[in-house]
Amino acid sequence: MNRWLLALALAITLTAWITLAQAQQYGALEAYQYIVKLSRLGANVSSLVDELNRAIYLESQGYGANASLIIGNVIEKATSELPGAEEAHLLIMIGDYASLAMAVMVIAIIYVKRRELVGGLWLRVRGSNRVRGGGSGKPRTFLFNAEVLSVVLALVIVLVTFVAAQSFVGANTQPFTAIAILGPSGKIGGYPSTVLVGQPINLYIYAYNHMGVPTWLVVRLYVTNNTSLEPPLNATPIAIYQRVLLNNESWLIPITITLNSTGTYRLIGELWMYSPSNLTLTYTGNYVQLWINATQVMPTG
Amino acid sequence: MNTGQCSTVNEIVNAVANQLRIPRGVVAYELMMMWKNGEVELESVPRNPVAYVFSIEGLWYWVSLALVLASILSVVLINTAPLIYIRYGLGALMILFMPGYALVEALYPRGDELGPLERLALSIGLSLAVVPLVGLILNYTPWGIRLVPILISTNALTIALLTTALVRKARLFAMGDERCRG
Repeated sequence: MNRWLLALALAITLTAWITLAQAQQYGALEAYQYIVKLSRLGANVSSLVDELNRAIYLESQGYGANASLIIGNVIEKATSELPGAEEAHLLIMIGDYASLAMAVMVIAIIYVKRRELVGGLWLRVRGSNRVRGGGSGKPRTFLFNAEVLSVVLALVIVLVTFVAAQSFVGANTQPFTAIAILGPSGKIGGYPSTVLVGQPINLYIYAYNHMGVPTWLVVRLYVTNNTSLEPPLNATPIAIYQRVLLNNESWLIPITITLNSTGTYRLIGELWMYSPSNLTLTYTGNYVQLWINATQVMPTG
Repeated sequence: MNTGQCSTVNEIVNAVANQLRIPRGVVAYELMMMWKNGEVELESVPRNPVAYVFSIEGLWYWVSLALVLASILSVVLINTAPLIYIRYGLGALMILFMPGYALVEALYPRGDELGPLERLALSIGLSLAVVPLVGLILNYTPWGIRLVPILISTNALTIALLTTALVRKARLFAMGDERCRG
């Protein structure tokens, strides 16, 4: 009977723990969703991202209760900021269109009234000048020559088309994330190829977000002696690192690994992310790997 | 407008506007175009170099200098949209037009030696020739071909050429004669 009670208590505790963890994960994802939404509306979400990262870190360290508090705080702040951000976004959009319409109108008015405007201005400046006949008969104008103006207009059209195309293309650039492995100094190069068994290996994993919005990145680190497996690996990672990165933000993760037996190993880092659009954990398709030989004695020469 | 019998711009514009019943601005514009096309001459400030530099005659120089300064400021201060497009525009002007324009003005200071279209084509063409030479020279200096050295050298060259043109134009202006007696 006691055994049954103990098993029941264990089951309840385990279920409660799993439920709590899932609730925290769901809460963090909800906060992440709000942050993405705010970011898409053009709001500054740096402080919210910092807080969410703190919660993710605390949760990974086992301080679930503290993480929940922070996540709740982030959700509260984000929901309170959302209406203002939507309003500001709408106002900015209206302002942009109004400015464009105004600029077009001003240009049209200036073009229609150019003679009166330019003539009036010239009259103010040159009104007291004395006029005499017998000029050279050769044009000295640069800005008021029809041929020059047509060439300038052609150049301006090409330039404006280029700039407009650039701004459209720039706004719709292919979103991507990236992962890299860096040497012990945090730079490309200096990678260890042969190490002693038990010797700590210090490296860095570099991750970069160019998704256009803050993105929750997850780096799964594996060490395997299987030389043919292709990521994503169906194995237990030796470490998982996760963090929300702002758009165009990079992240340098210091790692230290030790190989406990001789052989050829692969250190593999897989980049996963919680998709900003549907919030599911998806493999980005990007991974890095480093081949390392572990020996008992370092080869000489 | 017989030779020696000079009226002021205001007098002519008022007379024509009243006679034809059209806005003064339109008459002034047409008179300006006659002057720009070399059909009439204007006499304004005393014919000496200092008067030329600090009068409306030397305005082109100050406008050009203002453009150079604006381009330097835009490079230093502007890094993000939407003002970045001003930097693009001024940068293109400073690299593709201004060095050649300043050189053409220094080489042909009188103003009527070349047609307007020739002047524009030469300005763009000479800019394309001069700027790579500046880059070539910079390559052999300790500073190399980088943003700040390029910014300083191209703008310094443009200012030097503009100043040369100003001096030559001021001398030519001082050599001209006053024909109006009235």
